[in-house]
Amino acid sequence: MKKTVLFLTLALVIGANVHAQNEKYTKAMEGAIATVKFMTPTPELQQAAGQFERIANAETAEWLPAYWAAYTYVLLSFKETDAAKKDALLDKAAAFYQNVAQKQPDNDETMVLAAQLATARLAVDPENRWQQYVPEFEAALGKAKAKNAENPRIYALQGQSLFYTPEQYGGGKTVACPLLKQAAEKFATFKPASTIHPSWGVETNQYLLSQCGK
Amino acid sequence: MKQPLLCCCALFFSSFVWAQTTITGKITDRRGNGLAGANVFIAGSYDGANTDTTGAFSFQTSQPDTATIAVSFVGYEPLQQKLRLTQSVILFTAKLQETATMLNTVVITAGAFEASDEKRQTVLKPLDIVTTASGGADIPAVMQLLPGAQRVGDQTGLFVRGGSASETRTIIDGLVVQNPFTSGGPDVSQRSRFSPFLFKGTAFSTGGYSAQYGQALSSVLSLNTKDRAEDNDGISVGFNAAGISLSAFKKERMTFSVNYTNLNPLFNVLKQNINWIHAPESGGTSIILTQPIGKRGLLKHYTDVSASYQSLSFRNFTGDFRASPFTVRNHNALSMTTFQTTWDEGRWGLQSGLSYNYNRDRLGIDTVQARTQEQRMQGRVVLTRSLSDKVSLLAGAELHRYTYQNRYGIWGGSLTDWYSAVFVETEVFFTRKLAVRAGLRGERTSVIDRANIAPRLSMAYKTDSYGQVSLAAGQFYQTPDQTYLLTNPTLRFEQANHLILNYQRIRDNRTFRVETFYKDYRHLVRENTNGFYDPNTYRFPTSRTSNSGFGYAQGFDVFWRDKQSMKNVDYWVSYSFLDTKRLFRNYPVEAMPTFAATHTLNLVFKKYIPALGINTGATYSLASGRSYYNPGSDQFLGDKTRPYSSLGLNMSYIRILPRKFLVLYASVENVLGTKNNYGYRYTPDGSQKFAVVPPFYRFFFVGAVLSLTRKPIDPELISNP
Repeated sequence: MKKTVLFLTLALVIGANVHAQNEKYTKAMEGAIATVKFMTPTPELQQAAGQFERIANAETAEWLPAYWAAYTYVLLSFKETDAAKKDALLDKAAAFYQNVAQKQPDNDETMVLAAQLATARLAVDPENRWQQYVPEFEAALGKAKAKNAENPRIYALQGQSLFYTPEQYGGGKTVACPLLKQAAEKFATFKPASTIHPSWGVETNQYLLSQCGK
Repeated sequence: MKQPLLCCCALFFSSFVWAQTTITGKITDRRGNGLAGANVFIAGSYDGANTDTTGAFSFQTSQPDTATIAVSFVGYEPLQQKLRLTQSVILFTAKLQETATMLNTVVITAGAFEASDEKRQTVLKPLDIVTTASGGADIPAVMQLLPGAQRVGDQTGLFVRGGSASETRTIIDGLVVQNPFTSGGPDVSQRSRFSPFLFKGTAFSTGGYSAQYGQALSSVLSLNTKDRAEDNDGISVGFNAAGISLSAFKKERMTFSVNYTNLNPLFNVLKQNINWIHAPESGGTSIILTQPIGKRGLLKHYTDVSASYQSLSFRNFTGDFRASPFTVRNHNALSMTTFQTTWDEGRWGLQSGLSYNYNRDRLGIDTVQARTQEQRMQGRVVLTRSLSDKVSLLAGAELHRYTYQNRYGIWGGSLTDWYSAVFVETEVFFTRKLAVRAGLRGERTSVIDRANIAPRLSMAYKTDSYGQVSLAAGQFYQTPDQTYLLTNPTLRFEQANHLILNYQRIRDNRTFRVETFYKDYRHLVRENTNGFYDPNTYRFPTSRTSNSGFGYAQGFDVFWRDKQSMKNVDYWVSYSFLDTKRLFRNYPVEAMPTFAATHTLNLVFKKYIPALGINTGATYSLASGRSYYNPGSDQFLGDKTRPYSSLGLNMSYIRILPRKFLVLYASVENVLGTKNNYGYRYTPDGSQKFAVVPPFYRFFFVGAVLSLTRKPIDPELISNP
C-alpha cells in the first residue's frame, strides 16, 4: 500500500511537472510571437529574438523556436540600414534556418522560410545579387507549392515581391494584386496547427492589398 | 508515511521553490563599450534577458548550484562560461570579441582594384563594366577610367603608370592570355576579345601584385569566369549597328555563341577620319562548358575561335609619304580547361588549368608583307592551405611552351621558349587589423637561358572601422620583347621595382582612395641606333641591342566614388598624376614616353530612372597632352599635343516579360565633337606632318539584345521588400 501511494504520488507530481513544462513552453513562445510584427520597434523585436534563441537552446527537440528566431532576424534585417549589419543578421537567421531544415526538411513552412531568407539577402544589394537569390527564391517557393498549395504565405511572398518590382521588370500592381488577393483568400481559411505554429503574413498582405485599388 | 512525504517535498521543491538567483551585470565590446541587445541566458533554460542600451542586464534564475551562462550577439563571437550560483545576487560581466568579417578585417589593397560579387568591400561591381559610358562594355576600356591607367587612344592595350602596353598581362582563371586584344591597323586602339558577361570577377592591379603573377613589369588584369552558365535553357539574339550575335544556353551547363560584325555599312553613314578600303569585318564562335565534379569540384572549359579582316589607306613612313594600303588579317584561337576543388572543409584548395593560345596576323604594309604567328601552351597548378584563420599558404607552378615566328619583308626569324615558374606565398593576420602577405617567385626561361627570383611583400593596417593603410613592394621581371630575342638571345630580363603606399576608406556606399607609387625600371632593352630615331612602330629592329635602358615612374592617384548621396545616382572621380621618363627601345635619350600623360582625370556618372526603367550615364575624360616625335625639334619627344577631352553618353532600357528579356542601348562617344589629336607623323626630312587623330570625332552606336527562355524569367531584377 505504501508503495502504491508512493508510486501514485510520484506519477502525479511528474505528470504535473511535464504538463507545467509544456505550458511554460507554449506560454513563452506565445508571448514572444505576439511582438513579432514588422511595425514592432527594433529593441522589442530583439527581445523576442533573444527569447526564441533561449527557448531553442533549452528545447532542443522543437523546431518552432528556431523557426521564429530565423523569421525574427529576417525582420530585423529589413529594419537595419547598414548593408554589412543586414548580412550579419541574416547570417544569424541562416544558422537558425539550418536548424529548422534539419528537423523539418519536408515541411512547406521550411521552404517558405528559405524563400523569405533569399528575398532578404537579395534586398541587401539587388543589383548585384539577383542572379543568385532570385532563382533561390523561386525554387524554394516552387517546392513549397508542390508540398502544400494551400499555404497562404507562398502567394503573399510572391505578390509582395512583384508589388515592389517596377513594371518594366515585369512587376507592378497589375500582376501583384491577383496574387495578393489569392493569398488573402488562403489566409481566410488557413488555420495554424497551433498558436505557436507559423501564422505571419496577414497584416502585410492586407496592407498591400489595400494599396491595390489606389 | 514519513518517507513518501519527504519524497514529495523534495520533488515539490525541486521544481518550484528553489531559491531564485539574480544575475546582473554588463556586456561590452573589447574596449568596454556597452553592447545593446545582446542575449544573456542560462544555457538549457528559458532564463535570460537582452541587454539594455548601456549593455546592462539583470534576470532571475532558479537553476541549482552551477549553471552555464551563455552570451550571444550578432556580429560577435558567442561566449559560454560556468557559473556557481551560490549567492542570491551574482555579478557577471563579459567582453565579447568581434566576429571576423569583411568589414572589420583588414584587406590588402595596395595597387589593386577589384570588381566582384563575392567580396563586399570592392570598389567596382561586375555590372559597372556594362553600364559605364565611354566604356563600350569592354573590360580594359572601363579599367582606363580608374586611376593609374592612361588614356592612349592611338595604341592598343592597357598602359599603366608609365608602363608600355606589353608590360600588362591579361590572365583568365590564372592562365595567361597571349593576345587579349583584337588585331587592327595603325593609330587605332583595339577592343579586348572578351565579353564582360563571361566573367564574375575582375581584378586590376596597377602594381605590387602577388607572387602568383609574373612576366609583367607594370600591371596585371586578372579575370575570373563564371562558375555556371545561365539559369535557364534559352537563346539570346543581339543586334547592333555593326553586327549580330546569337547565343544558346543549356541550363547551368553550356553557353554556345556565334557572332558576326561588319562595320562597313555603319562607316558608310558615319563620318570617319580613316579612309577605309575595307572596314573591320570579323566573325567568331565560342563555347563554355561547366561541370561540377563531386561536391566541391568544378571543371570548366572555354574555347573561342575568331577571324578578322580590315584594310585601310595609310600614310606610311617611307620617303614619298603617299597613302598606301594597310591590310590586317587575323586568326585567333584560345582554348582553356580549368579544374578547381577544395577538401578537408576548405582547408585545402586546388586550382589547375591547361590552355592553348594561337594567334596569326598577316599584315600588308604597302608593298611589304609581314606575318607573325604565336602559340602558347601552358599548364598551371596552385595549392592553397589554410593553417588557421590567421595563417594561409599558397604554392604553385607554371610551365609554358611559347613559339614565335615573325617575317617582315626580307627579315624574320623564329624562336621557341620554355618558361617555367614556381611560387610560394603566405598571408598572415597578426591581428584583425594587421595583415602581411609575403611571396617569392622563381622563373626560368630557356630562350635567354636565365633565371630570376622575385620577392614580393605587401601589408595592410586597419586604422579604424572604415579606413586602412596598405603598403606593397616587390621585384618584377619580364622576358624582353620577342622581336629583340630573334636577333639577340643573350639579353637578360627587364626589371621593375615597385613601391606603393595606399590609404582607403570605404563607408557604406562611399569610397575614398589615395595611392602614391614609385617604380624603378632597370635593364630595359635598348637599340644602338647611333642617335637615329625611326618612329615606325611596325619596323623590324635590326640594330645591336643591350640591356642598358632604364627609367622611372612616380606619382599619385585619387579616387572617390559615391553611390549614396543622391538617390539612384552613382558617380566616381579619378585623378592620376604621373611623372615618368625612360630610355628604352630606340629612344636616343631619356624622355617621357609617348604613351604617358602627366594629368588624367575621369568623371563617371550613372543615373537610374525607375519610372522609365532607363539607365543613363555620362563619362568625361580629360588628359594633359602627350609627347610626340618631331624630327625638327631640338629636344627628343619635347613636343606635346593639346589636352585630350571627351564626353561620352549612354542609355539603356531593360524590359522583362515572361519568357522574354529585352535590352535596348544607345551610346554616343565624344558628344561635343572635340577635335582630339594624338600627335603628328612627319616625313623623314621633317618637311611635312600629318596629324594622328581618332578614327572618328563623334560616334553613335545602337543595339538590342533579346533573350527567349524556356522557363519564365523571374521579373524580380530589382525589388525593395
